[in-house]
Amino acid sequence: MEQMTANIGHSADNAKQTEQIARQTNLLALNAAIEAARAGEHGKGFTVVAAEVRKLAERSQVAAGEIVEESRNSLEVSERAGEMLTALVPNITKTSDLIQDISASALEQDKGASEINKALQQLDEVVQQSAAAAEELSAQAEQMNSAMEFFVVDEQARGQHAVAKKQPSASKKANSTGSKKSAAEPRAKQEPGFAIDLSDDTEFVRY
Amino acid sequence: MSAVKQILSFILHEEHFGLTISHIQEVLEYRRVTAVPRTPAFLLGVTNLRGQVVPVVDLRALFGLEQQPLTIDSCIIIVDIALGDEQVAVGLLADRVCEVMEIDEACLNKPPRLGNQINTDYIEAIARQEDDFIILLDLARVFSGDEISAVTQAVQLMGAGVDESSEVDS
Repeated sequence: MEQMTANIGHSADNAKQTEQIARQTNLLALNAAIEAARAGEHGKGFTVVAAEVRKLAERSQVAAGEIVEESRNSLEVSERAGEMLTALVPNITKTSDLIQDISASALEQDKGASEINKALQQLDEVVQQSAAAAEELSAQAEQMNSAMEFFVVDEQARGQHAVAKKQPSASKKANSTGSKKSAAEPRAKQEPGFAIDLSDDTEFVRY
Repeated sequence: MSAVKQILSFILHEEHFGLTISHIQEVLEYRRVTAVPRTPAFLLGVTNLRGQVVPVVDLRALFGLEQQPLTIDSCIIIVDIALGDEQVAVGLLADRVCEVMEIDEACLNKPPRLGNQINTDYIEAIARQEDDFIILLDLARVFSGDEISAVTQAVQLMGAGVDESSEVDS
């Protein structure tokens, strides 16, 4: 961009130089025309040449002037573009920073995800182990069950055993409910509402 | 075929002026002019033309026109004027020199007596050129009396000095 500006400036300088040369050529042609006119009849042909040269010089002067003007305009435009680009730079830097942040976050996310993956794999292993253990247990239990089939247990003895086993738990239950009831009784007496004594309302303040 | 007059046209204060070509030596780009003290305001100073001291006259000041800053087109027209029996070169500062042109004598009008910005004594004739007028200046009458003596004084005053300085330069 800067180089472009410099180039335009350079061509403007060149055009200015051309303008200068054209002006000098113009003056030279004028002087030639004057000389030719002073030479009278003999200089007539030269007068025409000089006039033509002068016209050419004038035209190149005009053209050079236009070039100068145009390059001045494009210089302005490119300067403005340069300014805009410079104004864009901070935004671009900011975007780049943001993208870097995003990249860092993504990396972290990746790390987290792989950790989760690892953990899940471990979990999977553990589950499989426990499944294997459970299968083994179940196999043992079946084995035990089949081993127990071997023994024949007397039905009566079985029932007595069951009652004896039941009783202590029942008494325990009764005990616990009893204690609960005794605790609930005084509360039940108090239950129907509060007896509010309104005669003694020194605690209240009337507004 | 009627006679034609060759003139050099130039612009001063946005008006076209003309000078008969036979009086003109050459046209110069504006160059530094050495101011000469104690000379009238219309005399800008002197310039060195190939070792020759040439007084330069500001036509605007001489004609009582408004002063304007010099432009890139400003030129000095070197003219020959008769001073007694010798010819003296004098520079005239013009805003812009246009071209050498031929004017049919039939297009020349006598100057009007009134309504000009310029004292009509200076005017040789007024030429019609398409829709424009070209005021032809009579150099002999432009530089007459006081003006010419001021110019010659300046030349005499500065002659020796400039010659010295040109020697120093070379």
